[in-house]
Amino acid sequence: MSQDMYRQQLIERFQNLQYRELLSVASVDISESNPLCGDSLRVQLKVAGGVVEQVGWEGDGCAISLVSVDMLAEHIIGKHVDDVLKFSDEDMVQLVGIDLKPSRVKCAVLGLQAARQGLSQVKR
Amino acid sequence: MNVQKLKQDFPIFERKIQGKRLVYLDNAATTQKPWQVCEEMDVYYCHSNANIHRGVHSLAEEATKMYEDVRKKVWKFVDGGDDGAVVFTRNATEGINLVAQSYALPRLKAGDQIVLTEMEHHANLLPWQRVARATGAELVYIPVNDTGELVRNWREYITEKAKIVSVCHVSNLLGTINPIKEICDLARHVGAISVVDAAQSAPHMQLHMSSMKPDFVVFSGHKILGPTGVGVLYGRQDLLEEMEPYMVGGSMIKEVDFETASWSDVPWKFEAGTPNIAGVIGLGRAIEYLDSVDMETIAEHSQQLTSVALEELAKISGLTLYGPAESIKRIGIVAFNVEGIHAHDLASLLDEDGVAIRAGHHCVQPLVRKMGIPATARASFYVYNDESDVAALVKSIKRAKRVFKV
Repeated sequence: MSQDMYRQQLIERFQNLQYRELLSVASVDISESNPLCGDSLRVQLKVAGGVVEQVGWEGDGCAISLVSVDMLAEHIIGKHVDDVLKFSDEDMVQLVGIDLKPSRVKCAVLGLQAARQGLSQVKR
Repeated sequence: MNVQKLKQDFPIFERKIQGKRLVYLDNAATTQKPWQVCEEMDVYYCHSNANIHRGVHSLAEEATKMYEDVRKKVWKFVDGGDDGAVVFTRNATEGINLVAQSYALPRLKAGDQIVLTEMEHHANLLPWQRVARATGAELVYIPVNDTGELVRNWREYITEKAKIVSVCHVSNLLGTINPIKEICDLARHVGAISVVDAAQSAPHMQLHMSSMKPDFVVFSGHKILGPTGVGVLYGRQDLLEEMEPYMVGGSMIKEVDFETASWSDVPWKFEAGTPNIAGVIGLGRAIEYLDSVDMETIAEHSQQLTSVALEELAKISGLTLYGPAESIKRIGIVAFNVEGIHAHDLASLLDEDGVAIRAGHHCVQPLVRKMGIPATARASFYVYNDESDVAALVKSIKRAKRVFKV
């Protein structure tokens, strides 16, 4: 993992987010916020045959939370719901690839928390 | 005031943060401690440790004297009047909860008003929401204008219906200094009880209870160079006497039988259980330290540094400052945002340079929301800061802007 939290790739991704738009049709639509820092994310998922087909999101927050949800979207598209539900907070931090301090880990997992909630709903 | 010399009293500045010199600008959250305060607490624990009050052995007498001497020091520190008493609490939050629960809760009724301002810290908001819910009293908020000050017609919000007027002396987000004497005067005039949250003013300004004439004042020890876990409630003796204790238990009683109990005198009836003896003793030493620097000198220093920070930060393009533009209207605290960088990212980047600031809603969520922003960055100063710290802050913000390409 990189020691430099705001390394070049993070900033580049932050300035060029790939999945920051809402879907025209979504299976679930979940909002999550972090009351401590005011970050809020709305995550939409389209699921068919137990597989995540599309992900879209919108919201406001720090670079860590926005880049994380964007990378998560990319990562889970095409994956089975059960596999995504197994994706842990540690996996998320690993995916972002930055050495995050404990206070910033919550930023990185905000989108994941929304996705988990949404997928649990789908399963029910 | 010789900042470099004074700074040598604070061992924390010997350490490096991320390999850099520590530029500590999070003083509104808590201040660093001089070795004298740490040593004083050590002396108590290692040399004089005993529980206070009631003990007749030498150590108990000694510890009791150390503890009670601090009460006198605090009373002098706030320029207390003959009609005022000092109660030790855990922090400012506990002080306000004590007043809310022990004074307000049994006395307020539906139709009464509790007057607050929109710039209150959650500590001066939630205790009153609770009283309002329980009694049917109404919460009235004096609005804050675009420059972070109370609206010009603030007086109109304090009417005969007001039973409590609870206001911060200095805003913990904007650093705004409120006209606290006038607010207390008006509260008294309409028959309301005034409560002053002095958590952010006690560090920077000489408090004068004798002229401010508040009914209750609270502040925290850890924001004035003292340890955490100790705070002060200064209150009117007659009101404190009328009030039921906030907590009951050991050491706050006169007589106890199986069915009933009678309370000890003010202030002891509000100090149930073994208090934070070491904390109180540390606080006493912190006050001595501040007295030796001189509070008037500190006020001047804090205001001067705030003024320099406002001036230097204003030169950074894309940086928005919040709160009064005139530095004379504020003290110790500067809140801002940099366009294109979330406050948390900014704080993390500054940390890489050893610059400690705070980011978030600073426990004034309703105000931050009203300002239409999710969060702010906040730099706050104290006795060991100087212009080189402001320069480090500015330099680090400029680096953050380069990293984020804004």
